[in-house]
Amino acid sequence: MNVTPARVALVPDRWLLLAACLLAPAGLLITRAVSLEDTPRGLDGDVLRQAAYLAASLAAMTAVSRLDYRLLRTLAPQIFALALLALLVVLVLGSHQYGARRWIGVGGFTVQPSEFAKLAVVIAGAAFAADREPGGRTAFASLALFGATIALVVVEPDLGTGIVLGLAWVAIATTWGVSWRFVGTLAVLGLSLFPLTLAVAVPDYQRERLAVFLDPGRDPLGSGFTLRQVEVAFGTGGLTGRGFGGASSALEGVATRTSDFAFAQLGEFAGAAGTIAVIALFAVIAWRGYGVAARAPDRFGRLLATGLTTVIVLQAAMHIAVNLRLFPATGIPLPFISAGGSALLVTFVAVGVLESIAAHRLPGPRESGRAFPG
Amino acid sequence: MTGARWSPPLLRLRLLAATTVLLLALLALQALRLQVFDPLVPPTVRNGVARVIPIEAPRGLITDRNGTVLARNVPRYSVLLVPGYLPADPIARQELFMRVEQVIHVASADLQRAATTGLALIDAYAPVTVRDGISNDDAITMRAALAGVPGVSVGTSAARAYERTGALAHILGYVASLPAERAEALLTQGYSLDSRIGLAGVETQYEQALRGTPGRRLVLADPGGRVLRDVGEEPPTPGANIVLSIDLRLQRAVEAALQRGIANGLAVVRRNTGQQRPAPTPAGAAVVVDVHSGELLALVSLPSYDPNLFDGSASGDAIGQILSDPARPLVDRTYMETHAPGSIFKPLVAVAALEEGVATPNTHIFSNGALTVRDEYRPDVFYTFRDWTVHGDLDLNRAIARSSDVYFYQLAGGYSENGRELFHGLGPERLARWARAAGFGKATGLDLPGEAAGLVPDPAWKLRTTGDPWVLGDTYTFGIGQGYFTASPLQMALLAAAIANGGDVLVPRVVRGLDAGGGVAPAPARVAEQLPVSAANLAVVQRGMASAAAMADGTAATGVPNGVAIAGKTGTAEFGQAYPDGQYDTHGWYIAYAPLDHPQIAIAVYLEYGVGQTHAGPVAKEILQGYFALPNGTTTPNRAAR
Repeated sequence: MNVTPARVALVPDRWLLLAACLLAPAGLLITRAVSLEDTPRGLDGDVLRQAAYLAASLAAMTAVSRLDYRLLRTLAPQIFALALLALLVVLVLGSHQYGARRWIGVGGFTVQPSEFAKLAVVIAGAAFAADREPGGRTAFASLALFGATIALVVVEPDLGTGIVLGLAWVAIATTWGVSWRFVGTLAVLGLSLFPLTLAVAVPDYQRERLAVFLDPGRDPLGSGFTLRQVEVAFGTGGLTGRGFGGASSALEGVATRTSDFAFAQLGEFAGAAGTIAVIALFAVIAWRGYGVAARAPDRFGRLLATGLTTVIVLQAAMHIAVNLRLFPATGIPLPFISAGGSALLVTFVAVGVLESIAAHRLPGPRESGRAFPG
Repeated sequence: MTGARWSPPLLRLRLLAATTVLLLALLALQALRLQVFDPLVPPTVRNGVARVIPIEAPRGLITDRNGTVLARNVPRYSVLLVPGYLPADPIARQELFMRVEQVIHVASADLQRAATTGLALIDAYAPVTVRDGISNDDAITMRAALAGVPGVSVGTSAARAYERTGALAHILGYVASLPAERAEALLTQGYSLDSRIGLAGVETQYEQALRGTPGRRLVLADPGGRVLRDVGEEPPTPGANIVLSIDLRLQRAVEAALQRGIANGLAVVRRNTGQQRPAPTPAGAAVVVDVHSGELLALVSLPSYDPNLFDGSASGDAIGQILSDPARPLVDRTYMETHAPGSIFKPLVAVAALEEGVATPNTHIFSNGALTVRDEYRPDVFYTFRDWTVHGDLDLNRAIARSSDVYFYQLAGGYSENGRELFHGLGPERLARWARAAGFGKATGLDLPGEAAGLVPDPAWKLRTTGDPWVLGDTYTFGIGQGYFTASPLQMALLAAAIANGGDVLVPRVVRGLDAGGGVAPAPARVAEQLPVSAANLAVVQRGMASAAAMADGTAATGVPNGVAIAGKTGTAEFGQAYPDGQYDTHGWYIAYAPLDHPQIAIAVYLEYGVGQTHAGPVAKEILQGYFALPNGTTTPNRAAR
């Protein structure tokens, strides 16, 4: 299947790009406001570093969007093998932070392989399914592909990323055409396995977090206090927020306030106006991303776009749910916004791939800005 | 296109998109609920600034081994002024100050100044202390009188109060405000600017355990800093109580005995010599250690100081006086300083000589009061190494009992006449090796900060440090515990304990254990070094020390308590500037263990000025009598198996 696009626009999907580019500066503002509390003047290292990550990520996105996404289909096995290897390396050599082994040092940087694994497993899953018809056996095989990755991520432990990848499989399988019965059975099975997984595979600290989530008063280690701080941060943020001016924050002393609690920090600084805007922008990404999938020229493109959109948006939903105290605290960054180079780069590369798929999309009956054909 | 529009893959994608957007919408609702409709923070304090305020944990107590509290927390009252709450009107404010002046006896001008400091301009709700160190009774009266006065109140904070008797300052240490040079690092470790931190002794060594874990309060304050509402609290975890191995009753007895010994020992200082000599400092130290566990039952260094002075309540003069005192009361002489131990080192030389085959119990040496040796390079020059008296013929037992210098010169360095070796000695290398094996020349591992290692010299060290080669005379003085060799009273007590317990040089400790509420499980004894000595050879040395104590003309007889047999050894070490007649001032030393047959404790006594037999011995006697007079069963010397 070799479809030549009608024309390659400079920005194949401008709504998608716009949403991504509106979200990213919020992360810089948060990092800057937090650093202002400590160093009242000038830009400190954290802000400059995050700005450099952002610039690199934008460059990577632009480059990737110019490439033909079908290249990924041929490289899928290699990409997947590399990602699994990196996950194994991090388990053996990784450095501990906040009670988990998620990072490896490369030169002066620390890299979080589970971020790259998200991308790799979606590419591999899409490439696998594109060549095969959805049936019981093939569905199981693709599930195994995801399952291996999820297992490695969960033992780090990074339960949040594991759940996001599980949902990405559900989305890809659904679009692929796996029967509802199969997906539904697995969903029920997954939900019933969840408590068991918690009991067996989940480390004490995460179980403790769950217990704290259910009863913030009981916490001996301070997570309950952190949850209280998060609630107060949202509360003092109110409708319009307290601004990014560097005044003292309710999240003072929370080490992960620019990463795992970025949404709460945003809620304090930018208020409900900011949080609703961020959620709306992720809704735009969901709508346009699944739209790119709907109009993709081939099955690989469609499944890839579905998986990438799901990974970005559901990770965001998970982060927001954790911050809003709807889900137990698992350290998961907010795409585009949380501080951290690996996550930012991976997210923008995913957007670049979506743009590349969009560049090859089937012409609709009317040349319109609508996401879905028809 | 209706067919394509609702084809299975497209239908499923629309479903995915719709579900995801619905999920996000639900999240948006929850965000609105937490931020606008049902926030944890009521709208009235919405403008409040959130602040995290640390809550200090109650500091753990320090008790002696019997539970007597030596360091406890007491409330400390002070009058606080919060400028932000004072009347804004200058006249009303002045009236208020006049009224307050009547109550707290602080001039209204001073109150005015306190209300307009630079800090008050930045943070009007930061309390300023205008009067500190108020007694309990005054605090009650003032509190009543100040009720209803805005901006002035009596505040309570925790202060530390220490047992004043027993010269415990060096052991306990003290707490004080964060030292400026470490403040920045400490702030990142969870200390706050008004935290207190242990800066000496057990207070600093066990800071983490004593401190506990501070809690936190989450409050909303108005922009000026006034607390509007508490919105969260994480309670602190109190610090653990620390049980010392020290017995306060024994510690007091040792202090009294040492005080007398120091006063008596000063008699060695000769006055009116016509020389310019530094004024003698009345100082000394004494150590009592359990020979099986290494627990220190008493550890006294004099002069001592009052640790209560460092809590910020004392005047600068009182602290200045301590800092400038020529007797340096802050120095713990039991372990922070080392000196030549003199003859109390001889038992170790005897152990080495026996083990190395240099001597047997029957090695006879004649002391005619001095040993004369020819200079190695100039044959016409002779050096004389004096003994303290003419002893005549000595075997090893008697040499220890009478503390003959000539005998030990020869064990250490040998003796040759006209190029013919009459006695082959240990030599400096072997002597240094045995000294190190007994734990000298390095810290003992005591659980207090600032331990001095002492010095074990050898030829390589001397050449490196002074540029001069080692000579026979260096070996001779080393053999009697003088010259370059130095040790702390603690190290000497551990040597006595090792001789008593079969050769184990123990790691001493002053803390018996931490008590987080369930009692104390004393840690097992730790052995730092094991002297490689046979039981038979050790018994020879033990008998020598027993003879020194028991024989009528034994030098250590002055230290024997009534009714208990002991093993003892005296030491008198020259130091400082020579008098015109070539004599020196001396340190007086005494080591012992008791009872002789089933040893429980070992002791070391050190007098900065004194003679071992005359001055240190009687101190040891008093200490031992103090120990054996303790009511039975209340002290609990650790009998843990070795």
